[in-house]
Amino acid sequence: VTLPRRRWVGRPLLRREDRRLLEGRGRYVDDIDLPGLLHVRFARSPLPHGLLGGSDTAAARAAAGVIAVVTGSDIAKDVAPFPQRLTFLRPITYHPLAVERVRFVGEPFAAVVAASEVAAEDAAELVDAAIDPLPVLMSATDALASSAPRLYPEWEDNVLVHRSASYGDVEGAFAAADVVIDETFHMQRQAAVPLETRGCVASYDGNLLTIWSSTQMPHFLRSTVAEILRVPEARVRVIVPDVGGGFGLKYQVYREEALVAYLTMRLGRPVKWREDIREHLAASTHARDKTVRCEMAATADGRILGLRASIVVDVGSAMAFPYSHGSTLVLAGGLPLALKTENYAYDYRCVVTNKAPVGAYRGFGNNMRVFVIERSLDLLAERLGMDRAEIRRRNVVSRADLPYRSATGTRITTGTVLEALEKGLDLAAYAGFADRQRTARAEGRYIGIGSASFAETAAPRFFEMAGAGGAIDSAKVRIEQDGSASVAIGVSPQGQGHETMIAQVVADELGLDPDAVAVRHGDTAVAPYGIGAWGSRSAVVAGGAAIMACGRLREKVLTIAAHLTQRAPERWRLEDGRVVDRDGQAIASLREIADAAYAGRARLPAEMEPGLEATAYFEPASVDAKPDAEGRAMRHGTVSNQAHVVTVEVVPATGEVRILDYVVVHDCGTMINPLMVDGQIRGGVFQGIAGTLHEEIVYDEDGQLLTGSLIEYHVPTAKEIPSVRIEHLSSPDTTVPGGFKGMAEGGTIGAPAAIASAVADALRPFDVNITTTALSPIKLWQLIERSRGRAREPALGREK
Amino acid sequence: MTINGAEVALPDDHEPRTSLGHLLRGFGLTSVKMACEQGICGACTVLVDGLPAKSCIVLAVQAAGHEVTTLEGHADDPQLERLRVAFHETHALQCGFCTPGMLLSALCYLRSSPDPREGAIRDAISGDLCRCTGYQPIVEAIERVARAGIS
Repeated sequence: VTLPRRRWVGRPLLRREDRRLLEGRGRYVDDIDLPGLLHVRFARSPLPHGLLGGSDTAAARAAAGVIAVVTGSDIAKDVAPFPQRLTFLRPITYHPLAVERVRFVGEPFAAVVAASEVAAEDAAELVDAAIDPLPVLMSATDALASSAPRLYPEWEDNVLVHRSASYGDVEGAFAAADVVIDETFHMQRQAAVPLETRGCVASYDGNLLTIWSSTQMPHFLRSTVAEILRVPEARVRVIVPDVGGGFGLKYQVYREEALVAYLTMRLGRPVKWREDIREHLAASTHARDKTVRCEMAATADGRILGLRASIVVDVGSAMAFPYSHGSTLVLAGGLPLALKTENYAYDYRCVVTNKAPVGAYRGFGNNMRVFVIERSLDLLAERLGMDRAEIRRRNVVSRADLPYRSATGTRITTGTVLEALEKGLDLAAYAGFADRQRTARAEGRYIGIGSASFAETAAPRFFEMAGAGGAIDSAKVRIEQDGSASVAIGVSPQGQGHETMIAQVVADELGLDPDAVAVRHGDTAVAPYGIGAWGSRSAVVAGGAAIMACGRLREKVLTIAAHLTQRAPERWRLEDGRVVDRDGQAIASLREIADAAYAGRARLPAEMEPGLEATAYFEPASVDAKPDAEGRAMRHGTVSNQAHVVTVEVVPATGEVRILDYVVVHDCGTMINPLMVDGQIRGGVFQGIAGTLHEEIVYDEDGQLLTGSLIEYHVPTAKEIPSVRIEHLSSPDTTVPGGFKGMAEGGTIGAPAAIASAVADALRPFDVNITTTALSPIKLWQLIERSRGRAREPALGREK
Repeated sequence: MTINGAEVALPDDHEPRTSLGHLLRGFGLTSVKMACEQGICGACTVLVDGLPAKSCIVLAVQAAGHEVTTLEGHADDPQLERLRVAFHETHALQCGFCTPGMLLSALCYLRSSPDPREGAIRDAISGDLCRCTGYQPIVEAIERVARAGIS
């Protein structure tokens, strides 16, 4: 079979999703209305830690419009706790509503169902919690103290998981080192804040349970809810309507989703939950909150010999499903990724505290690993009096080093990690920057330049982190009777543009116009099984599955065409809705072939199954099923790369950082749609900037959330976010169909490191060591003032 | 009040604390999105007497006697259509949740002072949060329409 020509993949096709959204006809969870719909609101703990007495629900039950009030202990016999599939984690047994104990402000312990949202909200305030306070743990340091009270009394300490590993000869590397950089870095707690908060609607007809949810994980949600409610999974249908952003936050299956499903089954009426922003910021999931001590051993000429990392992560209450520790695993396993060293050891501890659970957020540990490595490289360059670019030239994997296997087993087969940096430095005029900086300083202005150059792993295995699935996903393709194609994919988007993207892939594979391809997703009754849109995986796994399914269909189409025309299919291909020969002469139209396929035996070759439909399940061949004897494994489908070069000006009087120029050079292999790739980069960079210069989740020492609204949690506006200049390089992946590489998190991964480097460069005249990504004006101003010997009390939150 | 040109009276049992945004959504005008409900994000932006207002922090009763329009009420506005085309072409939306509010803010801006300079446009939409795009394509889309209007 001759492979299809690329006609649509690679084009900046405009999105078919846009029109209805531009007309305000998007249909999100809160836009769903059903006859007899009830509304639920949750009573949430006002205290960070305490024992639950018998909640007094009488007043709430008596309130106008209230249909039902349930507490955790009321329903404990009806619902199972969240499943525990990961045996290497300390066990956490938790239910949709808290039973016996609450562990963070905002934890739900009762639910009120009423005829209206307002009635439910009013009545939820009447539920008396009767909580007997317990001592609080508000930092990992506190929680690790030997005298610390335990958050989970059945554990012997407050450590969810403690693991260490060593690769190569780390002791030898440090013994041979001329210089060791030893620094501790911190990334502050943040939140993903999709503009549409969480929410779901559930309905039960006595047989089938239907859940509409704003989730990234329809099938995983279905499996989880079925297990908790003890209903056969096949009788549960999850439908994902339009989703107003996810960014990892909607990767988790939430207690509220399970409870809404429970309530609709119990009450026999549809139930809706829409979260408000205070609940969202307090009680969904947070992210980051990671501390890494990194030791980097190097030679006097700046070559890294080995790395040691000691990692402590505050995972909050850790009541997140599938887990709270996953991003730590990515951080620890990925630290030396594109650095040329085989010697690496890590030790990580995920520590529980009385904060909201940590979950997924774009970057997922990778942003911290890049921040730690880039800052350490800067410090090494400074120690050796070497140019920052030069230190990278000596240590970062370049094309000449490929294929390269990282210390922990990630294989970089194709890519341009160093080349992208060189190009970025060129575009940002790095070579002449020192002169510009001197001139600016003479004028009293502090400008700086910084970079991040990194490999981005994508399409990872789900199995070892969550106990379900590998790196698989799926596509089902049917050529309809008129020769058009219907596609259903297992992954389910939150605004990325999967319908357009997959239509481009399928159009090429089947020789169709994209307008003749319809793509559906997000309904477990329509889509084949999938494990969700996360980990920058959709282009790789949905694209790969679609190509596989189309390949099977193509073979069948050509066989039928040969049968119908009684000719030998020599170098035939699909083009413009027809089978054509090597010279482009039409053999038969897809419509004729589909006609035959659905007519059955009369017009098909003997023994051929009727129909023109294929379902493919795909897992990247690059992913190792299990680690080798040394514990090394390729845990990801693809590795793309990005370089960020950012120029900033710091205003010492205010601590403000102004971004003067932002350049991204990236390489994600074959781009399906460059417009969408740029969109992912820009959106990613925005969230990376936000997480460095603006956003921080802050609790006070008593466990109360100080950043419980968008007034305190500062999401930057168009005024604070710069334009980004983007350059594309292309090294198609050789291990997955299509050559696509996942790339949607690189913007968020690179920005904190690049900005921190630029800020540190700008502040060289001051004695400021940038070891944190919390660089909001107040925080940076405090650092600058301290360097001037003027210690200033923090005006907001606690010092780390 | 009028809503998208139609006279509307609040019912006798109207709950006084109902926000304008919730009232509008109750009428099926679901382009009005509820997100932060504290006047920060702009997803609920509507026009009151032709000016942008965050309908989550306007009580429905405060809108009595005023003309309220939502995105649905501007469906046939040629300037809005130009904005839609520009948003489409620059990939100025991903999840689409902020888009109705963003379009109304942009529409209002272009009506009052169609300054195509980037800084002015960024000012004009600084009351509308977008979590997906990084704003750059939105600014480009508005600039494109502003420039077309001048030429």
